[in-house]
Amino acid sequence: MSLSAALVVLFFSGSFPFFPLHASAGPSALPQDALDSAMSFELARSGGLKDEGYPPPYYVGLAATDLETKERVCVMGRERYAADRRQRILTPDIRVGSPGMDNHPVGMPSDMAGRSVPFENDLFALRHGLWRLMDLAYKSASADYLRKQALRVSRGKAEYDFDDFSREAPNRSARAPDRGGWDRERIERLCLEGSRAFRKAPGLLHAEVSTALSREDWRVRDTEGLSVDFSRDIAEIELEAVDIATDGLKVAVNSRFLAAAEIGLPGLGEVEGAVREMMADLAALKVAVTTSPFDAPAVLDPSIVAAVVLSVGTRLSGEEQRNPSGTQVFRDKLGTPVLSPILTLVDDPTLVSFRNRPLLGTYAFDNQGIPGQRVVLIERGILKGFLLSRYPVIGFPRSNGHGRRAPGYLAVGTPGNLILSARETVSEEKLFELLRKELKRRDKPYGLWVRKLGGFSQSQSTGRQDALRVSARLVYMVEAKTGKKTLVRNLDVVCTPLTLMENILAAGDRSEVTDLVAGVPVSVVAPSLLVSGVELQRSEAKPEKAPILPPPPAEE
Amino acid sequence: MALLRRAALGVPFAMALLLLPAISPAWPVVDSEVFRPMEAEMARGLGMRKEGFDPPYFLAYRLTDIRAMEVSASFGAITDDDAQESRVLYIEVRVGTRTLDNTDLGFQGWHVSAGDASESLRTQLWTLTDKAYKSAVAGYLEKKAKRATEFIAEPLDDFSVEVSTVFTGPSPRSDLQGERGRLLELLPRLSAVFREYPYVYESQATARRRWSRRYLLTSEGTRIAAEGSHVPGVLHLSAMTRAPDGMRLDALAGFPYREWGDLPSEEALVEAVRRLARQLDEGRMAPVQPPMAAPVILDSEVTSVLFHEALGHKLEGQRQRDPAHSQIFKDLVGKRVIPEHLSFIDDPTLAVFQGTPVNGHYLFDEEGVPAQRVTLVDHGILKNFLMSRWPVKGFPNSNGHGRADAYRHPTGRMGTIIVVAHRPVSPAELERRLRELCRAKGKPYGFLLVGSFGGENPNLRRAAQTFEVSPRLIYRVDAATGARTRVRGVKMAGTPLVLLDRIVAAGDDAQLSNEFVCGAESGRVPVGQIAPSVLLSEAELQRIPEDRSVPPLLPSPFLEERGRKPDDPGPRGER
Repeated sequence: MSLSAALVVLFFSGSFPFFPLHASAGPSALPQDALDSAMSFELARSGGLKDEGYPPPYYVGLAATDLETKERVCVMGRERYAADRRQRILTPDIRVGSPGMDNHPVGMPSDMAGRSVPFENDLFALRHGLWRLMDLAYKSASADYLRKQALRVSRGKAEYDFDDFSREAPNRSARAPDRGGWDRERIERLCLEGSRAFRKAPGLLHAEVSTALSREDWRVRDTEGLSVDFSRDIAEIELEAVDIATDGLKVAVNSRFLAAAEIGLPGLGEVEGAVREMMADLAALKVAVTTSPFDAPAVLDPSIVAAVVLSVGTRLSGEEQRNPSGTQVFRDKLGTPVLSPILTLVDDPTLVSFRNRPLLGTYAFDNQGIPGQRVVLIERGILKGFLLSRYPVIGFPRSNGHGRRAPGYLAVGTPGNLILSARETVSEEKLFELLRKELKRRDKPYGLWVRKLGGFSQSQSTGRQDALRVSARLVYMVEAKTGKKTLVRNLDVVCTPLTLMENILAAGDRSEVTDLVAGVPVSVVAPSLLVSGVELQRSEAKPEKAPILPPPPAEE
Repeated sequence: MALLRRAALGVPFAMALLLLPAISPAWPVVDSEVFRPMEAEMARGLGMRKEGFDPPYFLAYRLTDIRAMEVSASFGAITDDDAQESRVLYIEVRVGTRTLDNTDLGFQGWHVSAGDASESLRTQLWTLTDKAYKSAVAGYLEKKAKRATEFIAEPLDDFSVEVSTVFTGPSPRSDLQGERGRLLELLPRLSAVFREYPYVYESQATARRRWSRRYLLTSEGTRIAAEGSHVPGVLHLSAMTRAPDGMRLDALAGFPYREWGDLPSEEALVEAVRRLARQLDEGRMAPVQPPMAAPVILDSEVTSVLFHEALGHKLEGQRQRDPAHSQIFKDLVGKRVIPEHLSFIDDPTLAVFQGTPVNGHYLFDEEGVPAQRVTLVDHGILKNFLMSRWPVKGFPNSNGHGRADAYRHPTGRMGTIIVVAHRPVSPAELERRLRELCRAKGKPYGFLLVGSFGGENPNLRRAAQTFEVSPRLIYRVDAATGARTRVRGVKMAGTPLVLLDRIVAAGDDAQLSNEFVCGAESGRVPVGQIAPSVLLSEAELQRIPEDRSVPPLLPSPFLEERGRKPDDPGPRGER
């Protein structure tokens, strides 16, 4: 059984890719003129990058990212892991050929393009690093360009092939890196005290809290005169706990807080509340029944809907429409219905908050230095637009400021703040009434209520079936006759995206924000939905024997 | 991952090749020359023991003698002419007890290419039994080690108790030379017909023939000498072209046969070649269908592949034992699992259907258990599993479905599946309801999927339980007018329960699809599939993997042959 390489696994593995260069932390308050100088010197020299018999670059972009991360993991009120890391990554984007056809990968760029260089500001050391980096990048750009030409000879031009690089005005925006604003000790206290709260459940097999504060300072420059600086911070607090049911199957729950600024951090009370809720849910799950998988109409809570919406969002990236090994599920569908006509999907990186809750996918400039723009993706069910980087799509020759990626990677059309709104909504109560009505109509004894996203994975390549699999913390069977809800466990939800999206029966009237990390931070605002069918699948769990001795007595 | 494929072309023989003259027309092996060394070594093997461990409690020797040939031709000339004979010895050793022995679901015995002389066979039996016993002891300890941490909620026996069988069937009659001569004449003539179609870039006419005899001896007293489980012969016609946008298009037809006389007449085969060429022509001119969810009619072949993937594999008994498997149906015996207007049966005892010999037919499975007709799902209610000698909760015995190729350990597999419609309607009525459904859902059209290249389906929980079926021909059916338009570029995908649940009607047109080979953990085995066409209220069509290539720069040389100038595009712009 081989898993396709294009399988995007987003099981809340939010940590950014880190280069194997670690160093002790220290405040970096120095002005970074040496970096600016090094970048502009080497960009200026890049005009001379030309090998005999090969084309010169027509464009050179350079992104520098200063990264600082502070991680803590605490177990039962004590630290078990602490790491402070700092590094600087330079990512070149060298284009040879012409904007009509250059060395941009066919489809989805996925290779690491960046390299880490000294984070101290020494002009020679930085220029030396850049000199090597740009040289290698130019050579591989030339090679990639020739290979792409070779591919064009055998494969021909696909009807969806288009220009490789959009023309954009060179933006300029300087912003001094903001070094304050975070109370690091407060995050550490949340880790320690949050994990201490699990002491009330000493029988758990595993319970821990991890926190990470990542700060990125970006400088984007290019040979067209673009110069944009911005920062991207994210703090995450993740709680996990595992218990074992009597049939030897483990039950696991997790909970996560993400914040882009100090103000978005939860208070200790909130974290402890989440711990209490997790313990209560675990206690319920431990004695919950298991059931054979079945398919049924379902009410999905906003966090589950967020997973579906994000998977739709990633399929709406411009690159995906031109990816020969992608599913291209939306290609050729512009102006046609792809979603229930009551729904509209917008991506808006300019939106700062939703009902006073700060959003995570807010940014002024994307990784290519293009201002983030509000984009209507699907309007009343009709496909209207895509999430575009500078890799254009037929009919959409310009970026709309969605070229995002983790440091070290080339930008790809990626969601910021996805907002799913419904033209007609019903109350939560009515949603369940409609569920039961649908069950009776289809003569099904049980429906489903799926709550609290745990994680999800999707396959997005034509080599495999296009499917979405969601692990929810709480899955309830809803009895058609009585409406009685029975918690079940160790079951995931699977569906194919088109069928799910076209079969949305009703939307709830309360939208909620779900923060996710898909390489970059993303917020999804969505209501609950009633869908006509999802299928359950046993989750991957191997029965284990429970601990032989009881847990040690608690001291407190 | 389980795969269902049409008996694929171009799969190389995995065995040693011998020159043609070595093969004699009469079956050369005398049964006793195989059983005598087997019996001698089995008697010794049952007494062997490593100090501190028990001797084997079960031993099985399986020997498969194979004579096979393959002849291919392309555009009028022979491209392949191979014959081979081979002999595969497979040994299974069990230590411990029936309740707990050395086997688990990944278990495989030992196999070698065996010699044909009685003495060399005995030596191989001796050394291989020794190896198999040692690895069985190691396997037993490994299994106990795993159980130190694993929690077994429902302990099940490892090996069922079955009555032993003694049976001797007739030796195969192999007229290899005579048949080879006929193929060397027929196949070039058939393949030459493709020269009339300049847009056919690659094509083949291939025949595969296989005679085999299987010998099974177990320490429980089973002694069987009979024909092996395989498709005796199949003639395949295949062709490919590319659409103007570079998309690859394939066409394939197969004609299984037991006796030469089972093959259609040459005129009918020539017509089949022309039909394939026409399908390709129609396909390359067809529009690309974007992904879509819509009501769909599956013809009998696609229906059979749907049931094979979505239901058949998931009802294989051993999968209910292993928590790594999806186990969708494990606890659903007695419950409704598909619409009540359908039943699902597996019947390897069915030898002939509508006058055609069925390829999923066998008398005894690879464990020597007599084949049985099993009603798996009765009027929608799950009744049974496909059982080998791996017991499952509530099903302590085999029902004669322990199948394997010559090299692998048998597991519960399909033989001949039969999808029974209890409220059948005519195909015309199915199409009327399709259009009605489209109109009710506001869809401009539905689809008709005809024929299948095969399917694919993951069985492990690790993977999302989606599966796919690749149709050969896809038609878009206009909801208003019923007009059919051939389209290309999509496959059907879905999750099994949802799709089966959406079968709203079935046709009265049950047919046999006879040329499929099913691949799974215990190897490739031929299967028969009988099903009617069905109507799904909705199915999702997804894009097929992109395989795009610029069509040839120069036109086909056969254009000149036909007296046309090379720059003459021919009818409909063919090149």
